[in-house]
Amino acid sequence: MLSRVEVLNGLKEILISMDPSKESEMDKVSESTRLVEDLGLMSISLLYMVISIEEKFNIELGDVGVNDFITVKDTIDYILKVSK
Amino acid sequence: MKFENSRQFFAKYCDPKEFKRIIEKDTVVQMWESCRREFKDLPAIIDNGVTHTYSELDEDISYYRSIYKNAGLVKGARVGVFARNSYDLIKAYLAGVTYGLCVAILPAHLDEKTLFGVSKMFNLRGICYSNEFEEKVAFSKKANPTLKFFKIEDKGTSKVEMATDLTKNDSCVIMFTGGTTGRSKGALLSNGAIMQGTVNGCYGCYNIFNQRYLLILPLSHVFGLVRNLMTALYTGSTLYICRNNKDMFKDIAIFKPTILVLVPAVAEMALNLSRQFNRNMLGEDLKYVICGAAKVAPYLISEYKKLGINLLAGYGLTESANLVSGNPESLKKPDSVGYPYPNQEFQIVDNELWIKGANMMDGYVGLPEENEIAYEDGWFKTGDLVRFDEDGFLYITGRCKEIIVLSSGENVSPAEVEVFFNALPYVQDSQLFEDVDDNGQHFLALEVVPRMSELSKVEAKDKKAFLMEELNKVNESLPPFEKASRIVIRETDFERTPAMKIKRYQKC
Repeated sequence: MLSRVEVLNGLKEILISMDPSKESEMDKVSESTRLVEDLGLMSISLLYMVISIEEKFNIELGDVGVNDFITVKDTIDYILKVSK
Repeated sequence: MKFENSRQFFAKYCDPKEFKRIIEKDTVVQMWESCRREFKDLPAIIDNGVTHTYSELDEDISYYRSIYKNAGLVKGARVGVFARNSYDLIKAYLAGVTYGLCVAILPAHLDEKTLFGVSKMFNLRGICYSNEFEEKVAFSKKANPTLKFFKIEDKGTSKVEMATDLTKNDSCVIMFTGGTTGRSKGALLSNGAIMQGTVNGCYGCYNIFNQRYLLILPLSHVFGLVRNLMTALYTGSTLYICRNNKDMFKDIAIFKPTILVLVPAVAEMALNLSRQFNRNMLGEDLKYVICGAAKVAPYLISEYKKLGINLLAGYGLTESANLVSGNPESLKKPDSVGYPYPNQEFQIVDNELWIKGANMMDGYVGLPEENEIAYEDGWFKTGDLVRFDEDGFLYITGRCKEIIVLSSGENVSPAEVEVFFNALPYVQDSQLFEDVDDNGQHFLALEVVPRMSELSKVEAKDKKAFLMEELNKVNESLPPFEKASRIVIRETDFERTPAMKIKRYQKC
């Protein structure tokens, strides 16, 4: 069973792989960080993130849409829920 | 100008036996007559784990026609289809157009009020909708009691034959578009236009019959409807419907498509994911990616070629039943959107492309003032600035309304300048625009989104400084009036339209 910190770190790795220039900003990313407003993710990058989450954590997110995740917290909660 | 030898031009890229089978048709009824006769037991659509053969699809649409007949709808009546991509959507659409109706495929994201507004603007007689949109249609049901409603999941009561008296001039579909002026409207496309677009989609691939396609684009987009669905059916191919875009690579792994129809942003995402997870996310059988609806970077063409996949860029509009030109020489001429497809005439007026042709729409529905702007002497004014090279290949150099007129009187086409910056492998996208400083002085500014996958490979310690140096070198090579006075490397992507085109700044 993954811990919240492990999921957060995995998520940061995904965000860096999507845009390596963001690496220096990852220290500031917390659970309250908003994906669109704070990280500047657009529809395609949200899709990229969701696909990468399934690949990286080897999970099925079910019938979610790319707009179902607003904050990092939402994303971690969902990953932990489906990894149970 | 006319391109008399257009069909012959494309012949050399196609298997000669298959090329003989690419025959122009006047109506969807004519096409479907051939499909159901020639492809009977072949799989047509795979959706939700169920495979439907051409015969089964034919039976289902003949039953569904009874729903339209029982509702008293006659040839030429307009109905909307409001659903996400599914077998049932395709069934309701094909039943409608083969019954002689004009079908408006409505985007699934419409809210209830917009749906009602659209039903009035398009003068719809009925709406076919999916169960999940019951709440969204409730307002229209109440507000417009004369509108008839049908469930796309219904079967129908008995078989009804296809219309026998359709011609190429009869209306076939209404497609949503932002058009050349940015206001949402419906482009009315005849049977002849849809069939020309469908046949045009057959040109450029060596083997085009009996292929495997994945449907990712919405069918409410002309690229999805014409190139992805109609050309697939015309060629006896199989279409696998991807129900959720996040599952597209799982669907690819299962279905192993041979042709994908993608917008460039998704094509690039597929490449990056393949690198990130160190495996081919595109499936081992993929031969062609048909890429359009936004600008295709030459970088993508060469990267796909390294994987043995031909990425073919093209140019089209909703108003032209999608396809105007396609580029089977994308490696030799990566900046071109290709060679014009048959049965079109072109005129270039002040660098703007004007078109007449069998694939062109019959106008915007219910908007005479928009048609007034869109046409001149029967020519459709695309709003795109273009040039043809000596071999007849087309290049998009900008959009009319994007032209920046400098105080010196010189005109700058941003797209024409951006192409030099975009040629750097470290640049994913760029935007040249006019800005104004605190003293009211107008100047040209450039913003760039870096392609981090390439930039991270360079040895320089300060990668941003390296990129800025490269951008400055390009800037220095430009004529003085096209040089940017300020260059910014962005941290995030540009704001984009639903078709993934950059939303252009309007600062001045």
